Amino acid sequence: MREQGVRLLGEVRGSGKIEGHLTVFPEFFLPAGNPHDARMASRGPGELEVWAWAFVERDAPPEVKDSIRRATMRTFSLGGMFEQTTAKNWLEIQRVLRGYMARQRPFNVQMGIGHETHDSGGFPGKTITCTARWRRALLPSMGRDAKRGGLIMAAIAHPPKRKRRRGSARQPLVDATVQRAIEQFLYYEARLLDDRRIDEWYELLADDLHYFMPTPLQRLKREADREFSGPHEAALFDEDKRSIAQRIRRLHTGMAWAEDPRRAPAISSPT
Amino acid sequence: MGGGSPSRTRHLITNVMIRPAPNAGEYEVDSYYLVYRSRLEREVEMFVGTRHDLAATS
Repeated sequence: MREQGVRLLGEVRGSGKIEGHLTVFPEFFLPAGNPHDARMASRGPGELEVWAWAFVERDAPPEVKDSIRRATMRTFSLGGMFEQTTAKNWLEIQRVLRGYMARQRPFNVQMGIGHETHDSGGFPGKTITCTARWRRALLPSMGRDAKRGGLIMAAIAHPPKRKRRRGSARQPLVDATVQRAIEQFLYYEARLLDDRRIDEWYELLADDLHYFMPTPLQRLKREADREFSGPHEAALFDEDKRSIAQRIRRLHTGMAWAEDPRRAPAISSPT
Repeated sequence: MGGGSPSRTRHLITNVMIRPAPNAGEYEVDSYYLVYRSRLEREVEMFVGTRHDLAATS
């Protein structure tokens, strides 16, 4: 793959050694840390929409493609454990920017304009290279304060373990004791989550758990069988017990900012 | 905007329908849920949906 990249794009762009995120101004970027992932954010004033793609090699074996799909979903797509925090931050930043004080100040969308170069460093056209100073500034402050984590995103508690069965709601016929026991289990599980007893909740999960929440799609009535994404498409959640354990460990790091911020976000003062 | 704090949630569960699964002692369980979540001063979200489980009695 690398040889092919170098042949097509030259040493600098094809060798995979580029560090940092690539931005196509103003709103498309390729996060370099995760080569399977790209985003765009745009929906007009005050509105933000993020698209995440996973790139796979066309010739890759199906299991490799599937593993990339799952890895992307579990990290940087809508239900992903990192995107949960990122999305929250973006929403709050947008809200803060609508405040009185924020609106009095010019917003810098300069993105290095005025510092661009042409056909330099192995990159064709107009490019701007930003240094990784922010990273050095930020990283030392991370990793401290392993505080108690918050609650995992609420929606995670609900994916089914079985594939969808549409139109199969028949009158149930089970013993009242069984009905009651199962209902009580569901209530208990809900209570543990509401009480933030997430480790106890985790203990209830089956070892062979498949925790799946499909993506709802906008379809015509005649395409009702395509209303939800299928087993090998982008789902909101496609988890097993191990990946849920990872999510919970992250909450316990004290760095799950959306649920457990280190300090108050930027304050937009009242008028 | 205030300081940070974890979400406050209530998971409401209704419409629990159960039927025997092909394997003895296993049941197919459908339920509806509504998750009410509030956070900070006025952030409110609701998630509503159907959940399918395969339940086994031990």
